[in-house]
Amino acid sequence: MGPNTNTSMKTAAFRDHACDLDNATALYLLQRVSAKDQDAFVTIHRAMGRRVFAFAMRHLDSAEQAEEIVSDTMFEIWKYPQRFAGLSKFSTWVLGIARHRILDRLRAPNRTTEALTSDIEDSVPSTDESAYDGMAALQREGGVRSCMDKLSIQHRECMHLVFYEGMPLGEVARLQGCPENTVKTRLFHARRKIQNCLRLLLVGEGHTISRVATHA
Amino acid sequence: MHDELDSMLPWYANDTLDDRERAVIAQQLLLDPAMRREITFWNETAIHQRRSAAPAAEDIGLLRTLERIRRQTHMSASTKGNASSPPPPSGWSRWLRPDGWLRPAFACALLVVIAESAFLVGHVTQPDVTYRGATPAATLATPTVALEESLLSVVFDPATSEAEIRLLVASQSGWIVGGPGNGGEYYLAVPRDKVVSATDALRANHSIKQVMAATSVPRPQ
Repeated sequence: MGPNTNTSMKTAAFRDHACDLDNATALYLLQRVSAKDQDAFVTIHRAMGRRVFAFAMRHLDSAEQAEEIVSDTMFEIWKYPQRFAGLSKFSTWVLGIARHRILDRLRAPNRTTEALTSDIEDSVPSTDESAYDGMAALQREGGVRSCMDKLSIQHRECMHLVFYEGMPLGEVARLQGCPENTVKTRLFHARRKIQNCLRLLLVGEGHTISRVATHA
Repeated sequence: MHDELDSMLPWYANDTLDDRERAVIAQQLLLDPAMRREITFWNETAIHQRRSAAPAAEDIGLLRTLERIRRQTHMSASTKGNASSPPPPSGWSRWLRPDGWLRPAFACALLVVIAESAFLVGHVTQPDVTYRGATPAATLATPTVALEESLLSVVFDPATSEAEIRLLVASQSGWIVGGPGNGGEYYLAVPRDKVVSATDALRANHSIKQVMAATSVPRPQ
């Protein structure tokens, strides 16, 4: 897939939130929410609810909990609409609220946090690219899906924000509360981990890298 | 330099780089097969991220949130009620105590005044239907809304979702005051000073079939 293909992806891929709220519209609606206008609030809820839900589901393993996060987030917007000053994109602000709620939930007792298993992180050198390139497309998609599920929460979140939300680097850094270079490093490591995970999958299925490469 | 460009590839893939950065990477992609492999990886990752996102209804969590708002409103109202302690009885309240004769007399007098007022004012000022948009409200009794607002008749594409309609209207600082009519048209009130720009913007939107100026909101059929 070359650069031209990538350019053609942009409209279909990253601007597909039919209900994207620009900041001017959001501020207008929030002003009405300040006056306790439920209709304006419903407009915001419908525009952002699904996105908050998708974001929450990257962190939580329960649709019910994710729906509670949507409700918590939106209720906070209802209570404090004046807190949005327009310094970031409106969606970044909303997802930031959701993120705090999610982290609170993850910190709660009796909650096991997921992390990438150490064998994927450390056991295989990651410089060889052939594990990814060598797999057939269908096999690769299944493998990538499986490996992404094994990423740490921070890495999954980063992937979601960049590729589902289509956020620029600065917005991701703002939302994750870290420098831009940290965001870049997270994606770099996520890529390495996915590639190592794919390699382990291949080895687990009894292939050697060189054999797979010749099949491709 | 190469590592720096590599680290920017995810944002090349999601198309959020500025023109200069984008041009530098596009140039490098033509020359560097390893970088082309990288961008392939990120493009496929992007596709996977969108496919694997959890689907949900447009109203996800909405009922739950509205119920919380209702509870909160109810609680704050009752808290206010409790917080205000009853005032000490005044001379008037002693006169108006339930077992006194003055209270029913005042009630009768008040009823007479209300009945006379209703007769004089008539039903003209009483709107029979009230539309509730994103505020302020307009009524059929005053269908041309306020003087500083203008009315537009808008026909949306049937495929447009309610959320999209709401956002389109809000993006023009407008609110729905009526509809849908026989032709599927909705009536929007927009600030008078924005009516031209709002009309142009709505006409340019692919979800809208028709935008026309209107002078009144027809009664529902």
